[in-house]
Amino acid sequence: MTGGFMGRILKVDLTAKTIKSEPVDEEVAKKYLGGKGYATYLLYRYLKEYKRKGISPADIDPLGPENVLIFATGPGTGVPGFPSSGRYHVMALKSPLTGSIGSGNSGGEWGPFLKFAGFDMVVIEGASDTPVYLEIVNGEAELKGAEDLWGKNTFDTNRILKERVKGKNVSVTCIGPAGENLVYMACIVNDEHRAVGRTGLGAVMGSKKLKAIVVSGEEKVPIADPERFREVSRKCLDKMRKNSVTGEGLPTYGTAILVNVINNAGILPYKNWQTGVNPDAENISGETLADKYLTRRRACWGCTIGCGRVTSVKTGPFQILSSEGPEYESIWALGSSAAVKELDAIVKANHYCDELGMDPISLGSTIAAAMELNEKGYIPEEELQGLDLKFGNAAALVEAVWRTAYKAGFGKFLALGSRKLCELYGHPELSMSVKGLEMPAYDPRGAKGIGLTYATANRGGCHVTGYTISPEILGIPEKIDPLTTEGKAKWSKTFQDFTCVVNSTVNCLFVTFALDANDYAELLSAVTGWSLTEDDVMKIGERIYNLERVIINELGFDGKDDTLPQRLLKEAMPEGAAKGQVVELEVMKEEYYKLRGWVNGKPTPEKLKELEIEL
Amino acid sequence: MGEVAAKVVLFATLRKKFGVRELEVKCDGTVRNLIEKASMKLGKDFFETIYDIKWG
Repeated sequence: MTGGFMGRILKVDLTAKTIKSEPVDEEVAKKYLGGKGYATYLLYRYLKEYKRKGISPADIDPLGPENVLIFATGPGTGVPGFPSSGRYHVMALKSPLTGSIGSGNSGGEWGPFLKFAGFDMVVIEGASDTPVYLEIVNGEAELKGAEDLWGKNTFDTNRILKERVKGKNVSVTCIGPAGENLVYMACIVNDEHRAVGRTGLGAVMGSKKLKAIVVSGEEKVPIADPERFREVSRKCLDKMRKNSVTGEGLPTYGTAILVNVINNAGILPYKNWQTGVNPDAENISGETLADKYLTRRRACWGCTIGCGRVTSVKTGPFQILSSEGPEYESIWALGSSAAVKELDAIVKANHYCDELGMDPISLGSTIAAAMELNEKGYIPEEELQGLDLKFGNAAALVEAVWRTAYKAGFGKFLALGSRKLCELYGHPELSMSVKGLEMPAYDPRGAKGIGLTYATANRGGCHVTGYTISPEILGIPEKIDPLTTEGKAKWSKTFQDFTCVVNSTVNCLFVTFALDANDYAELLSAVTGWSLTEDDVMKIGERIYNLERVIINELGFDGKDDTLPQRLLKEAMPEGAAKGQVVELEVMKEEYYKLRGWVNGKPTPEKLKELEIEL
Repeated sequence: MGEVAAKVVLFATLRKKFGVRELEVKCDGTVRNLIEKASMKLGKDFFETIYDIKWG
């Protein structure tokens, strides 16, 4: 097998309770790498097979046994010296939250430890009739009963299984009560505080009654050219050390460093995106987090950045003796979006998200939408069952988190996500989502490129699909005007394609503040033994993005879905650096489709042929 | 352009390094002069950090 791969894919049928191992196809890996790329290729094959059997993609129930869940590592994962390669990517054919493709990514140790256990990927088909967990130890896999674990939070599940599987390099990825209860924004949590956050993949896992996957092993990832790899790795790690973001900013403040920066740029969404300026941003900033609650930093496996924050709230009503985070997105979603200015409450709410297994971005944004619905009088008081959902109510926010996980009282409506919640109460325009996925923490009225990225991301409102905030606000690799639409299509496409490479190599997106496609070409060539150039690598990324787009077209998504909420298209930003701005999406979209070779949001046959995508 | 009053706001690592959250300076309205004037209060290291070149 080629370097970077263990050469084996574990296929588990939970309905039949069978497990088999299949080889990694090197020809597929050359076209799609691993991680997101290979998983997307496999998902398309499943879709094709379902159509052949007469099952329409539109009829696939995201919480039914036809949905497929894939946990995937890539050729970079778990290779010592490969920058920040402690990650894995998870995909599902359909997200219960959006109806589009499910996709998420996580750090910690689980990704590398899956490879040390002998496998590159795990494919989960069907559904068990009773709770089970999957144990993968030293190349062998077994399904075991999880009746004693069902109902437990992610922390307890993690500890019990780590104790049960005594061996080297043990890691657990699991769901909490939110996933078991099929909350649409449930996530998958590994190593206690790392999460596959977005698109409700925890609910998919819960629908299959799969509580956890525990891995352990001591195999080493093969490297095709160790001497060349050592040289390239040293050069890349040196670049990262010298970079102001990866070498200083993120290690010192974590992602929370962004709160003041983004607020100062006038694009920190406040009160469900009514404005982009938060008057209390300093209270919930990374600087305040470092001053008041930070105890130490923590790094994922093999990472030199160490952006993880270990935190503690020692006193008060939101006391939490030890936690991790919150990240920038969590601070925004559980804080600024809901106008909560008590950072200790945000730390607590974020902790509950990890414990119960929910995506803080979607949850926080859904709570904020509920707050706006309530303040405008659209929710009958009796339906709130005493939950005083008003902007700024920190106690109500924290209560809403656990109510959602258990679908208790009003929580059963919050558990639907903001799109369905707002539709239920007659005001869909108050859901700040794209394709049903709540948008993250950058208002595109003040950074037009991220608006295009949100609109065209295959999984829905997503910033990490193509982080154009980097040039628009942070000036990396160069500073561009955030308020113009000119040139944004090219930036968006380039970032989206390159991010596919990162998610298919499977290492951390943050390294791209310092490393570029040429660095990836050199790293991947040395690990795999293939001869890759920068252009090859970018073509692979473009291929993956287009195949993923083909899948969502099959699921019923096209150009009409590449849009933004009316608030961003029609309501001018009321204040701050972006005052008076709206998002001129159509002009950017037209240019973007031209660059992509798409018509109405669908790749043309010529584009698919150019990218050697065989359907 | 005549002299203007401006505020320099420091975040994160710059705040930590120079020990201030914000300071007010008078400058000629250009960014360079703003940084030069701020450097007279914070030290030449501030200028050299922002511009990555030697002061003077």
